Amino acid sequence: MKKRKFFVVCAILTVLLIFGSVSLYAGGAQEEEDAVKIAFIGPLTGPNAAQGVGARNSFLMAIDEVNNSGKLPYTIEVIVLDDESKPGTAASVAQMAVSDPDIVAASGHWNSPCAEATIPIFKSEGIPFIVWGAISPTLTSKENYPYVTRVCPTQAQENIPLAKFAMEELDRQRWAIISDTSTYGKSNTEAWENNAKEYSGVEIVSLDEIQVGTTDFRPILSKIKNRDLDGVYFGGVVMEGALVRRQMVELDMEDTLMVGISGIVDDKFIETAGADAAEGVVAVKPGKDISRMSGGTEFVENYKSAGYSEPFGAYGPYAYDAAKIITTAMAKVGPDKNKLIDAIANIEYSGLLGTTSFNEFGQTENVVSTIYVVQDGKFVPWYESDYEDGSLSLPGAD
Amino acid sequence: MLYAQILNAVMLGCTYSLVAIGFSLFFGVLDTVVFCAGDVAIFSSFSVVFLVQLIGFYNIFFGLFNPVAALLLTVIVAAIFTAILMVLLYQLVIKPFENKSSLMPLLSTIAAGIALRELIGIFFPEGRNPRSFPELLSNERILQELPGISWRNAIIIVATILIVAILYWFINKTKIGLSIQAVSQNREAATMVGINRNLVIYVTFIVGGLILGFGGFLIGSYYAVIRFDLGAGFGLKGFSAAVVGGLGNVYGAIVGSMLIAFAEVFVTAYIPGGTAYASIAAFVLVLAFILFKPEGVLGNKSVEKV
Amino acid sequence: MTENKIYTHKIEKLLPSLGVVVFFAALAVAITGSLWSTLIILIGMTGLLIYGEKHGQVDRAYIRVEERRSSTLTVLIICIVLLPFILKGNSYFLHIAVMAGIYAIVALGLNFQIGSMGQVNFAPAAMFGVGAYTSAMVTVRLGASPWIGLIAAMIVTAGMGIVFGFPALKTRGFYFSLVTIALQTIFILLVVNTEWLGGPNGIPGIPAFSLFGQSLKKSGMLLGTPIPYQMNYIYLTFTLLLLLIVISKRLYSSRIGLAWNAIEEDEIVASTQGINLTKVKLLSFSIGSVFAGIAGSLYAHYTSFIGVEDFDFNKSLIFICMVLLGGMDNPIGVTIGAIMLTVIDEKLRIFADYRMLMYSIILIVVLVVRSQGLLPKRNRKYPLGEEN
Repeated sequence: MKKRKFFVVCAILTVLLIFGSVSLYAGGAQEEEDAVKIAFIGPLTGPNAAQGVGARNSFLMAIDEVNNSGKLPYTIEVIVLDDESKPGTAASVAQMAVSDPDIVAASGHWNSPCAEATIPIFKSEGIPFIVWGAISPTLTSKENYPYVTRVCPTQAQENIPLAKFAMEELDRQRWAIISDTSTYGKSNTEAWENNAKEYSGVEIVSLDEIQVGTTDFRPILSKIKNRDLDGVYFGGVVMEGALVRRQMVELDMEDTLMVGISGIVDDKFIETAGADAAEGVVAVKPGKDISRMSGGTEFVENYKSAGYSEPFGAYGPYAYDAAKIITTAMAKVGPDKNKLIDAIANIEYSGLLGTTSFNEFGQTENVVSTIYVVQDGKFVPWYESDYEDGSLSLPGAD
Repeated sequence: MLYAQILNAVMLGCTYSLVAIGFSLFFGVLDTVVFCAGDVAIFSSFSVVFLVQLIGFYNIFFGLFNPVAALLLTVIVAAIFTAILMVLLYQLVIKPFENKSSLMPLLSTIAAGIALRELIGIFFPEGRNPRSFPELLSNERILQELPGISWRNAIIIVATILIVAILYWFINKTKIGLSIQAVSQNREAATMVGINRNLVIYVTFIVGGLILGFGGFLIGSYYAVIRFDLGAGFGLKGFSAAVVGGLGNVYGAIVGSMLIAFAEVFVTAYIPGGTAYASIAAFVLVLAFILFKPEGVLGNKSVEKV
Repeated sequence: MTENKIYTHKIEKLLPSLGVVVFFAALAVAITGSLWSTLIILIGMTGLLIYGEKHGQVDRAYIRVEERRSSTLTVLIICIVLLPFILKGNSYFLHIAVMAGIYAIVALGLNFQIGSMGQVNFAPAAMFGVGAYTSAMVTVRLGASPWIGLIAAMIVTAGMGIVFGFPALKTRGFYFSLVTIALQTIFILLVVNTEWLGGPNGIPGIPAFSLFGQSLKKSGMLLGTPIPYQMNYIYLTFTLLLLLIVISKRLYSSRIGLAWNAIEEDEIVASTQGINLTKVKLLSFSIGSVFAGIAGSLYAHYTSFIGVEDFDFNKSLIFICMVLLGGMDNPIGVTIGAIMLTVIDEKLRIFADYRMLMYSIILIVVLVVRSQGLLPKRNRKYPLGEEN
């Protein structure tokens, strides 16, 4: 009799399954609505979550503003997807995005490998894609134009002004480089090295590459301590950056200048390194300072009043403008992905970042960077700091 | 520079060694690798952060503690938390596999380590961000003429030595310590002469938990920045150190930690472009030991039990 | 009563085919449905498996499958052919199915070490990566056909399997596990530090497989509706998966499978029984690695981009989870475990923060509650032909 019971269970299950699938199919058919969707992809969990979450909030805020203004005859829905900083996951969620026929545009990625993984997918489906935070130069190219555009500067564009500032304005020549082995750290370091070498007299004394998650930099620092350095360049993000600065101070290297890239321009850096240790650290961040952006103060206020608990981070304004560029193009040509491709590529949009237009590779022509310096426990734009007028002097200044 | 690098290596070795001792202690008694030791140590670091905030709160409102008492209290309470956690982990993920294949507790403790890490990341406020560890030990130099020896570094070295010395006394001079040795040498014989094996195991886990608790505090103090996922790295390095020193041998664990730390530091310091390969160097050392001298530096060459 | 019995018997003959159909229907609903329906299906399936296991129905099902092997296989093949259509031709759902197939292949390979020989190998993701990178390098840097890449991946992983297996000759248990953890870590570090392998940037632009001059990455049209290119990969992946399941089952029933089990029980006794430990152990690693290599090559030419983040220690742990959940030393069980975990993983995307926590808890629960897995190892049944 047990046998029969088993068959009965099986039979019931089969019937249920068939009904289930039929109802699902039917349900799927009824779902058709006039929805316009755009996809946002970024690292919302994992090691770079801070970058992705700030950008996501800014992106959502921009779309909410558009929806509430009533300028478009439809409401836009954002599909938020998490790439976990892993290309495999990114490819998976991109598949999820392109399988939805209502999605007409997408914006994504802080990690360049993730963008490498998803761009072919969006391209093959003819969906316009705006990169808001990934900095590898190869992402925007002749082959990917006009499908792929980018609102943020590439690694080279970020490092050119920093090198110019360090070599010309500060007149530093002997450099040690510490970088992490992520794409972000490595590609920035490469760009910096190439730029720095163009200045006469500049010497790269040492180059040390560390794994993300390394905690002990003392062996490296002890090694370069007595090499008569003018500065240490750090290519990486907050955690390791803070450790490097802290351990530099510990090893009596507080008189050596440390410069970094956008990855360390974060209040967390000062908090974890300690305000005293971080004093005088110089870093570059793409874009104008938020207070100098047109509508920047408004953006900060809106962001606060929208109730997001996380800071918008270095790339928030880029994601915000990416969203606005998509909606502006949409207002012009309607929610049709084929038309949007050209509309976005040929756009000339004035927003938070200034006027954004794309060159023949899809790279933004609006490239500004701001040099920041840590003063009294805050990242202050160089031109506003007490270092600029000489009332304070940077570590190691003569 | 050599002096500075030796100091760096010794300090790095100290941070590895308490985790490595934990591995060896558990292995000795249970014949199984408790893989979550690194995560347990980092849990202790986070407990310290939590307690310091709590004590800061008490200080503001009640003015209860003087700094040294507060420091000791924090460290001891964090270590007790860690010991409790260790016993809980034993109950949950090690005990169910008493008489089964020894690989199962290996897998389950790896899983428990991940669970612990993720739980810190999820439930500790802003748990996935790096956080600064309170500067409880002064970073001032003891003597101006001696660079590198700050109060903190001195305390870390002395504390490590002290913990090992207490452990030596505990294992060799107390009755329960001798029972731990007996169980780790021969389980059946120990039971036969009337040693309560369960008690011995619990005591070992409490002692191991306390050591990992102090270890977490020292790690946090030395780096001053902690993150929820650091435990994986320390666990791996600690386990490697224990293997190099000879699994089950507590003193070997220290030797192993120093060997691994010296390998890492000196590859970074003296091989051009070696920094990127420092971790590889440590692992290659481990591989070499496993393949050619699996009993480690100080371990006894045991005859295969058939 | 007699009528009843005949009736039952007829249904019972259909049981294997019915089971296959139910499985595929459940799979389809699990992939296409919402999170809740997926969870209900998976819990239902788990319950049914455990119930059937306890009351002997699964054993009977095995016997029936043996009796009616050809018809079951036919039904299975029909189901696979229909799979893209019951997944509504939706490219994302098809993508899940392809990934499930690829991961199942890796898990099958890993099973030779964990399931058959009881040695926990923590480096399957590294081996998966070796396959993917070999295939990608051969096609991208040397411009060879992806099929050559696949073969190269198989050859290289077979060699690497022997390298990885070599420590297993001298060590076992924890020592061996530590060796594989070290190798897994070294693999990641080496790739990241080697410019030629793309370093941290990964390798973009890996070409897709092509068959009879047709790229498998071309979307087709069928009866006026567009069919996404993933369909081609489903057929490719599942054909290979089916083939590899058959190979695994054959190996399991062969002398080699027996020898592996003997080693698991007791290495020394095994060697006194005349088992050549070196040969048999290395075989396990080599074959397992080739499986991972095939999967890696499929993955590389399917996603067209590989980055080192996809082959890290956590991925290894997920593969181990698949083998343990599905059932050690049972190819069908391992496949089911891999498919189940892949589907759950995709469905739980929104809870990405809790993913690793979920895997670790699944691992602990499976180990404590049901360490033999959902579909445990079966007893070998040999025909008593020679005696009769």
